[in-house]
Amino acid sequence: MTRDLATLQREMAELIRGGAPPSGDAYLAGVQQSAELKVLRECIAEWRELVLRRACPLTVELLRARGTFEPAVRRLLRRACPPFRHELALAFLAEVAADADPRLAQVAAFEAEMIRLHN
Amino acid sequence: MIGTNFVPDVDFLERILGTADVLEIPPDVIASHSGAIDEDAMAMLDEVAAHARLIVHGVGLSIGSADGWNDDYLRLLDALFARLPIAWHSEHLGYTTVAGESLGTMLVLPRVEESLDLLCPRIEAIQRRYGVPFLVEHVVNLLPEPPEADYSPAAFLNELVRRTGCGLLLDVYNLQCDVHNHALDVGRFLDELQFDAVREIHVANGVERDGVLLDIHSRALRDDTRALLAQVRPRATNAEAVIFELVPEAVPVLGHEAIAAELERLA
Repeated sequence: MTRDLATLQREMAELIRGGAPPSGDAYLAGVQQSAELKVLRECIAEWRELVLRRACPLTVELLRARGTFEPAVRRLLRRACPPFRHELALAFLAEVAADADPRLAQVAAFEAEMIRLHN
Repeated sequence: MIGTNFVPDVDFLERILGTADVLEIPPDVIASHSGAIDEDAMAMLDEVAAHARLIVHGVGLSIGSADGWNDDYLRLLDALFARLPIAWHSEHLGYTTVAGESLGTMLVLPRVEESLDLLCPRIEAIQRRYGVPFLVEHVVNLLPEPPEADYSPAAFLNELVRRTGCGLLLDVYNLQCDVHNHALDVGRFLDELQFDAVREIHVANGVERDGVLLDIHSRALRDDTRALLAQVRPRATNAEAVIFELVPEAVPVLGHEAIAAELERLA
């Protein structure tokens, strides 16, 4: 191969998060422009939305009422996430618990604690 | 044997047990945040072990991650194997994490020597660790094909079998996705595949979005999936189970009766 596996995987991860391919790399440039990558990103975002709706419905409802849930999930897509469902929810809630809105922050902290207690 | 995924839903399990001879446990789905198997799910598994054969099918091992597989997932497997009579287990030939962080999806490995060099020692280590058959499953390729390949799709699987003695899990719907998305020559694939290594078959259905066929495992089977299964089954003489794959979220949507009917059609 023109690149080793570790490099290829780092580059693919970066593309999925919305990063740019190395300049002059025709294959990765093709992936970046592909309809498949667009669909894949949408699927990842929807799956994470579903996981979060189930894991922390109160926080999600508050965010949706403010119109900021979908953007928050898109932000989540752009950064690295832990692999398991509950870990994903806890990482998300930790971010929301730092929000400047005290009601939202408290609800997120409460739901994080409930997840820890339940598991 | 016919089966489907274990879903921690008592009503669902009561309805399908009897029709389903085997239940496939998805460790990732029943993991708690502490990295253990959810205790309620484990208690249900203790109960159903008397009524169905149990097998395990993972997503989260990330056996193809160049920077190392997922040790947390192995701990889930350790817990399941320590407590339950697992007949065999399987994992996808892909990677879900890079540098320990989730991609949110699974990507395929290029079919090159370096991938085989990465995979074979890991497959052998898994086989030694659990002492039951370990099967590997080809993964739907959701992105454009890498430009370089040393092996055809079937030859890559055959080579893994030759080098490690592992079994194969043949997913009929994954083949259909690759036919749709990448013009896989399924006839050639099936002619080339070493069928005596196929120990398990998966069937499923998903959705098409913007021309891309996705393996969401969320719907009743299509007629053309059943037709391809009918082609595959007589050749897979060592296959012990056909599994109708479903994500837990699909169970209330499809309904218990429809799932049971699907299993009866497969029997």
